[in-house]
Amino acid sequence: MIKKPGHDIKSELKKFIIDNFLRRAKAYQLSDDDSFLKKSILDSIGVIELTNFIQSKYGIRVKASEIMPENFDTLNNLERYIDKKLKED
Amino acid sequence: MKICKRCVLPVNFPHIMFDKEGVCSLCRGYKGKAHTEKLKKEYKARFETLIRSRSGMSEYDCLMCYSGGKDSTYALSLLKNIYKLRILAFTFDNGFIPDRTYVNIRNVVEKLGVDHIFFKPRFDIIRKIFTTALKRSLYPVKTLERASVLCTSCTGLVKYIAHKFAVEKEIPFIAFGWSPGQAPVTSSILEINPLMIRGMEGVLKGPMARIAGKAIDAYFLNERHYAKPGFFPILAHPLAFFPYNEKAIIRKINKFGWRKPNDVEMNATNCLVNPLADEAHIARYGFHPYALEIAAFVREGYMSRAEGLRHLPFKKDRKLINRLKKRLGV
Repeated sequence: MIKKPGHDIKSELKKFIIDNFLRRAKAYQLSDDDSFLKKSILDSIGVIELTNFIQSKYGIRVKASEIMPENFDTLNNLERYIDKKLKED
Repeated sequence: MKICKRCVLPVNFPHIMFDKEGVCSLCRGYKGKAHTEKLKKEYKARFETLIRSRSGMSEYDCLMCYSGGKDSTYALSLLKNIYKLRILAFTFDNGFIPDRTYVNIRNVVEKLGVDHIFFKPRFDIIRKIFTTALKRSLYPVKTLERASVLCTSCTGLVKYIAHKFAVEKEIPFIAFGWSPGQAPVTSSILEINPLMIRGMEGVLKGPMARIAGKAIDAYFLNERHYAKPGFFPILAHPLAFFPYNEKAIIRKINKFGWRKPNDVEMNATNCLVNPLADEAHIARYGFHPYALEIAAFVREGYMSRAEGLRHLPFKKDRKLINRLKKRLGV
């Protein structure tokens, strides 16, 4: 699926993270700059699940070398990374 | 307690929802066996391409995390007999390996012709970590879906000690004997940037360091390893993309001299402490730590729902639990 006009990437990512990795009671505490690693939100399988979600939702191919904190560790980083990949594609 | 009408997951399992028909969100999201088979072919082909490109560069092609259980025994045999890899098998001795498993390990590595090492960490450190893991939640919620806190601690140590060996010996792959239910086929090949590994390592190391102190550093990566980012291994769990039939697997590995230990519980063939870990998990979270794995087996048709439900009730063996607690000093 390709990003449609009006896609709010950050909201979609936040919903995915909350639905799949956070206890709902703590969901409101997730801010756009919170580190998933420092806050112990993601483990290695979680990273893969997130990668698979991004690939199928936005139709982009994530290279293994791109799975790094600068691209994956916060909602802001993820949004920037996905935007960049969508423009490349 | 409400249980999914199709698999075995209970309504209190983290992050799932039940619809009006009593079917869980994981079952509703399941894309079917044909889709799984397609993914298996893709990942197997990818694995084979990676092996061709990365093998032969150091004295070993693969470090096999070998618990001595039926699944890791079978995975070891596939890597040796089908892929002809030069393997270093590594067993983490947490102090709870059944006597028969030591015999199994010896028989299998001798029969298959692989090099093998045991790594036994200090038992006082294991004791501190395990006893804390029985009482407290230490790691992300997501990890609770797949294993008890105790098992996550143990497998975490296995993973990072394996990483240390692999980077030091420049071994390009680390393989695990996880069953298809333990981790999805989409995670069967993991190539993760060392920068991300450093962050993920912290998720496990941090809590363990607070429990056991600086001694825990010996079991995790350090700056010498991170200075060699090009030598970080690819992780694979090949059982995800091979056919899986428990009875057939046991028949095959019997030929290597493997026999099921008679003092282990139904869901684990390699570790005595499982019942204690399971009991603590169920008491705290209300669901069995093997529920996700069994549910995946049911969804993929490896076992019927009825059989899956038989695997899950926790049969408390009071004498065994007390023996295990005594060993841990609880």
